[in-house]
Amino acid sequence: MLPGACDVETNVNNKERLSMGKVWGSVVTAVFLFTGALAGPEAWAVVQPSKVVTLEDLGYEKGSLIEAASANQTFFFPVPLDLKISSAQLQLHYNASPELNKHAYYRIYVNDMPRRTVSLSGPREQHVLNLPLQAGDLKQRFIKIRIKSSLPVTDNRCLDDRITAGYLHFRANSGVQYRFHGSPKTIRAAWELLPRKVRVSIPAGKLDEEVFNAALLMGQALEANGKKVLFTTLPVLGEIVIAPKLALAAMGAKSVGNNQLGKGINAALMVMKGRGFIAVTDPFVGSNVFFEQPWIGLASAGRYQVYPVSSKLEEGKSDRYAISLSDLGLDIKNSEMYRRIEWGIAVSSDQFPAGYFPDTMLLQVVSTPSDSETPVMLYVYLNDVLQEVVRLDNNGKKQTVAVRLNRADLKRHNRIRLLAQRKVIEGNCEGDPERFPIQIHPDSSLQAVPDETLPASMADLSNYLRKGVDIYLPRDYLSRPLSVLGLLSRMGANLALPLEVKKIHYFTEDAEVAPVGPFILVGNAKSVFKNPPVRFDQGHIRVIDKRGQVLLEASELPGITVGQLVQTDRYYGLWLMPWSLTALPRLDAMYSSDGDVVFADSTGVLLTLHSDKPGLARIVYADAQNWFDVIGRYRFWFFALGWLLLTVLIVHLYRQARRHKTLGSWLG
Amino acid sequence: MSPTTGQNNHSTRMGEVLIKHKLIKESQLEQALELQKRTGARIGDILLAKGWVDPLDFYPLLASQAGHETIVAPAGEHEARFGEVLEAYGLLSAEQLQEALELQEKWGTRLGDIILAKGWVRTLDFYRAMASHSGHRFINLTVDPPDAALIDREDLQLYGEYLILPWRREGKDVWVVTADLTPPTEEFIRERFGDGVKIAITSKFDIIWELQRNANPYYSQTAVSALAVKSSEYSALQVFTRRQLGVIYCFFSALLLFLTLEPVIALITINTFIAIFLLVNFGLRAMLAWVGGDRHIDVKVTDHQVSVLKEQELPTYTVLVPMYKEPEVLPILADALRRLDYPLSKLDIKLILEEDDAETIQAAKELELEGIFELILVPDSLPKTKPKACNYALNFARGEFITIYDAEDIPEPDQLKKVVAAFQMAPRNTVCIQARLNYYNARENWLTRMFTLEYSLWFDFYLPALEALNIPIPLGGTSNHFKMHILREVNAWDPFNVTEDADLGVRITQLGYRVGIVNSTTFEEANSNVLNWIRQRSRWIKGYMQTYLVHMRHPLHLHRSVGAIGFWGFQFFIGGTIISTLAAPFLYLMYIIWLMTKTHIFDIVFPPSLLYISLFNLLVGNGYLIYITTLGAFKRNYYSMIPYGLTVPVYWLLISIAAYKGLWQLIHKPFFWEKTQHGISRYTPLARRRALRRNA
Repeated sequence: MLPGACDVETNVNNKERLSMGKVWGSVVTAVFLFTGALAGPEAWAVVQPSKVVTLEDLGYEKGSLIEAASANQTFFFPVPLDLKISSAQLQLHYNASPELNKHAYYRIYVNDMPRRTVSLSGPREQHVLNLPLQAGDLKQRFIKIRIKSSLPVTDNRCLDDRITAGYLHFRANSGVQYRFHGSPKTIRAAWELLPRKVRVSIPAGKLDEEVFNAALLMGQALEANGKKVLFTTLPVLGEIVIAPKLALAAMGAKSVGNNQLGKGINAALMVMKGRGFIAVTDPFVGSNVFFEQPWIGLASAGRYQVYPVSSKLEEGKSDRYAISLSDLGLDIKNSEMYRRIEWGIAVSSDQFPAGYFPDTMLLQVVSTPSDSETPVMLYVYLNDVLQEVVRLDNNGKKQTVAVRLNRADLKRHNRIRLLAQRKVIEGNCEGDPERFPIQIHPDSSLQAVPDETLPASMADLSNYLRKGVDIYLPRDYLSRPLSVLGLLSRMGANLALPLEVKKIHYFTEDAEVAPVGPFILVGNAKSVFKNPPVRFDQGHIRVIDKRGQVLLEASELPGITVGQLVQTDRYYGLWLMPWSLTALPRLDAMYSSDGDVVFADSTGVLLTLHSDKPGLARIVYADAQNWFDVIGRYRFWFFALGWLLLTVLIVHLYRQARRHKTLGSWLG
Repeated sequence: MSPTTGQNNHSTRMGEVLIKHKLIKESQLEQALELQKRTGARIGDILLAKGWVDPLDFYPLLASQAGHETIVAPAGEHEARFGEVLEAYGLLSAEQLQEALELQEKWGTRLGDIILAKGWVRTLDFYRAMASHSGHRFINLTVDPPDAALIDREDLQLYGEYLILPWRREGKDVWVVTADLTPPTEEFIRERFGDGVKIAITSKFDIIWELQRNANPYYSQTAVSALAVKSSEYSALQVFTRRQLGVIYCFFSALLLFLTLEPVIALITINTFIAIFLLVNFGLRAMLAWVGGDRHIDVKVTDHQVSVLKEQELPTYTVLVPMYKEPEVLPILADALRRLDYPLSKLDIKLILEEDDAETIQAAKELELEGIFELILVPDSLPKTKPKACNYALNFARGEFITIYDAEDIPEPDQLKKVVAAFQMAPRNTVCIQARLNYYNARENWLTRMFTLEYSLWFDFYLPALEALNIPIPLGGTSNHFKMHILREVNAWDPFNVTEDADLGVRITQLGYRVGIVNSTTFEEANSNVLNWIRQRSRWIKGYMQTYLVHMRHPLHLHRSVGAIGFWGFQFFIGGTIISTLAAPFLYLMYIIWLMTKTHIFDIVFPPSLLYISLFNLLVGNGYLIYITTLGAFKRNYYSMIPYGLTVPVYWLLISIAAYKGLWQLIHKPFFWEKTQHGISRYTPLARRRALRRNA
């Protein structure tokens, strides 16, 4: 079973699991160019002597909440590589409900062995527990921490199962704290010790394209590993420095250990003025390598189209990939069910080859027979949308359940819940209720089929762009790289873009850009797009609601960036138009947006809308005048003219009526 | 009595007498004698057959030669004897007399009327013979016109009804001519002119023509002014009343102001009004189609009910056929009228021609139509409209019932009988029966197909449903049948309304009478030319506007007189037709622009709820209208036309074009009669040839 797979029998907050794939990916992600050991570093002042891997680092941004009467929760904490660990301890910050009765407890298992049982009775809500870890616990790549909890509030167990008065919440800052001996000797070790906020230094002034590209790829890699990247210019030293060898030498930086920078070697640990850093230098290859099995596939998935070994084309079905559910983290161990049991996995489309999307889930299930009046029902949810309810066969044999996933409910990151439930007719509420075995077998899989759909919203972009993307940047950004590198790095990580150096293009501002494939365009270029949702040549942009009230005045907020889904004759792409990049926009919410236009600033996405569905908001160009505006401006003149014409008409009709009133005009 | 003795001497003597009276030439006599030797035929027959002598000159001379002042009928049945006289004169064959007698027994009408209706005897001959037979003086009014001073204007209508005319004063004697020598007529003459009055015989056409010649100003004035003088509130002479103009002025001024101050809200308000109006309009039409689709609504007069009608009891039926510059369809019309399953002698057919329409007048004369066809020449005056012409002809109408056919109409033969039966079955206050209209050239082109589909829906669904729901029925232009006395009582047609029929239908309902629909169809010529069609349709819609304006002068009165259903039915059926045709182009345009450009400029006037209603109207409403358009084709078994129903939106667009033309004319030329040119169908020449062949 993969680390990170959740051994869950609770209604634990599944949302947090969404990012787990990203997390364990980040822990093992690739570093740079080579992995050779570094000999004898005298100084590595910059590194920290200790490191804490928290639940937040694992993706549990709000910690882990348990509300069920009994539950299992498992966490996999990565063990730093290439570093001598002097000590480690598990530190749990948790809140427990004061309603819990005297039998409430949780038990900590370390690598599947019970290590401590903690009673939860008592009026106090906030607790901190420190559990020292032993050297033997750290021999594996991950420390498996399993917490089994029992949260009764009364002795009546039948009642317990249906109420949620008790809770146990492990806060996000809970985690494993490591302390180290000495300095890192390898780049991998230095990478492990990078703080959450990483500064990347680049040369001041106008960058060469290859330096810019290397910085962009580095930024994306760091962001993809959960780091917050801050680009700075030399001489400010960051944890990572990207610069030509000559520049490094001019600064007085020296390699540490045996890997002296030389011909063909373009990464090293270096020190300068007593501070160590990872140097990335020429030749700027701009690509990463792997360093350990079995994570090769996942680490490089987006870039090299290599997938987990378990992900394979279905036999006889050349267009269909399958990934074992256990590889996705599903608990395939035998479980015991009393009334209901739940499994959860997080599935990202990034886990499939570009251009594929999960289509069908094939479950191999064995459940304990029950009488016909109390069948076992299996409920399958995709992103909390019920996909199918299956009545399991009542023969105790292994059976195949195929569940088709609704395409419309699929997102880039998806959460799948399986819930088995059976009705208990009678039971002993005073004793331990009877439980029934049920198991999902390892040959259960998720099938993916080719996705030929074209993007209709921002949320569709990732899948579309993962097939390969061209980046178009104004050449001007080479002179002010800080204004855009952060933005693009984050975007590359968020969209899991397969960035390639040769597909990053620079153009002169206002030149015509004609993409030859899926693309991202930043800045102002001559538009070759078909009916872009937002036109920049129409002047002042205003977003109004259905009642005509102004929601946003785009040009009056200089920090705003407009992102829109555009298309050429053949390809779709993202066009980002920053008014100014002094404050980088945060586009995180853009990637899951159902709209095709977003307005964002440094605080995040301000507004998202779909140009084809202007029900709530739509774009108008305040400076552009249409006939309606002209009429509106001169409406009083129009009124006067209209009223004059009306009066003339009425007078004409009146005179006509008077003339006809007498028959004389007809009879002579 | 034989016209000749068969003896040569006698023949020679008779011939000499004829030469002496300069009735024949010597050479003609010689030829006749020569023929007599060869054939043995009588000299009189030969001369008459050759056309060398006029029978009415010949017979009196023959009688005087035989020693008779007049030919005296044998004792017994007077009519039969008159028939014998005609036979004796050689004007009527024995077979014709026999047939006439049989028809007399069947139809219960006078022998003379039958003979004239059949056209067996020329009218002038007939009346001369009648004068001769009855011992009255015959006066040819074209030679000896009447003294206009004796004509009393107050009695003009009675003159027309009784077919009399004061002729001249000779000494103390006043001579009155008549073409209808019956006891009631004689009684009326003596009542009007005293016992000493002298009666003479003349042709009925002479009386009509002289009446027209002498009283044209009166008839014209009556035709134009009757309604306007007696019931001005129903006359369209005044297109807009002062009050209506005031309301319109205030309303549109307020609307303009509203648009200026709050353009968005104003546009939404207008849009809402139109959307809801159209929605209700669709609802009404759905209901009409529902009600009209009831199978029982079609069973009105059965064939059995027609068959049990006694022809002797059938009333005289006046048929008005207003025509203008339509000489080519005249034979078709005459043929269709001749084929009416109705006693010919009880038909009083008026071909109403405009005095300046020499072409059609000449064509009518050349056709030598039977006595049932009377030519009414309408003097040239304004307004030159069909209702004015009909009003004019009404002065000479003598039927108990009256109907109108257009020149190109081909009514189903039993239509008049069905109407008589329908009147008998209907409530007493039913004074008008509308027959259904359809087209005989339906498959000529796309336009005729659409026209046919529209008419099928209109007359087969809508009008029967309107009748069932007691909503005022806008009568169709032809084939509406009236009780004569009620028609005169309501002052007949409004000469200033260009859809006088629709107006009359509503007016009749307002006056407490009912209009019914009969299951008999008149086939017309569908307009096959777009421009001609637009002319016709613009007139119809203009007339609808006139009708709406006239009857909405006093909305409360209208509501009281026709009830709530009738009132709202009128608003949406007449008013709805006008508004929807005027609004449709804008709505289509908006939709097409939106569809093609995806523009959002209209969003502002389409808040969601209104958008849903508008989309409902556009898709469901129009879709339903398309559907019920095809229903008409189903009902008439025009299956091949069903696919054409899908193109009806294009047809609606044409209607809208015509509507704007009609609106323009309402303002500038409210009484202008856009003449529809008939006889342009490619079927017309064929139908004309067939009609002429049948007549020959």
